[in-house]
Amino acid sequence: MVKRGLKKAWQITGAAISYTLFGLGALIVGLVFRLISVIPGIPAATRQTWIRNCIHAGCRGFILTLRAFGLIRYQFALNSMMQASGGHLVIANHPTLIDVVLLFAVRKNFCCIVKGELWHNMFTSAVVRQAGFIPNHSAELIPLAVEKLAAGENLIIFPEGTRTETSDIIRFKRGASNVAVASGAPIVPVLIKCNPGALKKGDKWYTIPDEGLCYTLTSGKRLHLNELIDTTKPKTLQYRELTRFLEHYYKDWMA
Amino acid sequence: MTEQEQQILAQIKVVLVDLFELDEEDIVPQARLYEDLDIDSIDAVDLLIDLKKSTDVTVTPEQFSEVRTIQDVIDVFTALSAKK
Repeated sequence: MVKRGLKKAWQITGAAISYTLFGLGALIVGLVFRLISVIPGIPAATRQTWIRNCIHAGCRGFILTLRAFGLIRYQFALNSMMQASGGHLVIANHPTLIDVVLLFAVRKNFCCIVKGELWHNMFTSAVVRQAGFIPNHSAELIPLAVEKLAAGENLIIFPEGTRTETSDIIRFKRGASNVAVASGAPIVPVLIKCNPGALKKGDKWYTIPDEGLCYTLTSGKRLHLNELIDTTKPKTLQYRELTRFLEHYYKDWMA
Repeated sequence: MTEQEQQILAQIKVVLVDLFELDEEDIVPQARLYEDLDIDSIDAVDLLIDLKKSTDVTVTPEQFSEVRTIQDVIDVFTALSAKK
């Protein structure tokens, strides 16, 4: 009983330290880059690379810290994602809070779509803007995403749009398909599994199962649009067909 | 509903059935595009391009931004055809 209490206290302390470090890191990176942004002569592309490298390193540090505290374990089978050259659309299901952190930790230089809150939050806005991420409230979201993919960036999208409410049922919104159809970019699907379920929508960050969380991330074979759907049909039908295809794909994959 | 409005509705129906996998009987003037027919803002852009082709009336995204129902679509097109 006492032992379990101690273990819980250790876990919660570990989680608190990890998240605090993460927040502080984001804050410091944000401040540093806010200062850098006023220095003339540094091209935006260079700043973007620097900041994305910082994000990659920070996320790596964060998951290593979580693992050191025994809060998470992980296994990555992400060969197809690691080998994908530029201009790929990486899609993943979204069971937990730190899914994007895991992906950022594994590979450098990802672009992603961020919530409006982060775009305007005073701690995160400098980072997400200079990292060249895409705000999800922008009316130009699709053209921006297409532009980034065409420029050779790899873009992460969670087609569910938000964390899954109940762990098993996958409901995709059409946004990822909109981008895929508009850009014609090849898709790398990633399956994120977390056992037991925690850090779901509505869960608190400090509610952690005794044995910690076990993550398995797997990436599948690259998917090309014209092999999945009839690309001669009107785009509006392609969005719908592709969304259905991907939903089924994930349903089968999870089973 | 005037005869002209009915004509426009008939044209809209054809386009919507083709583009959005909808049943014709669901496309009624009071139907809301997003809530009832699952047509979002991205779809609306494609819809305008298609309507331009089939009706020869140009609607800008700004004019379309206030559109919520099928009746609103009919109104926009009625107003624009009157101007031609």
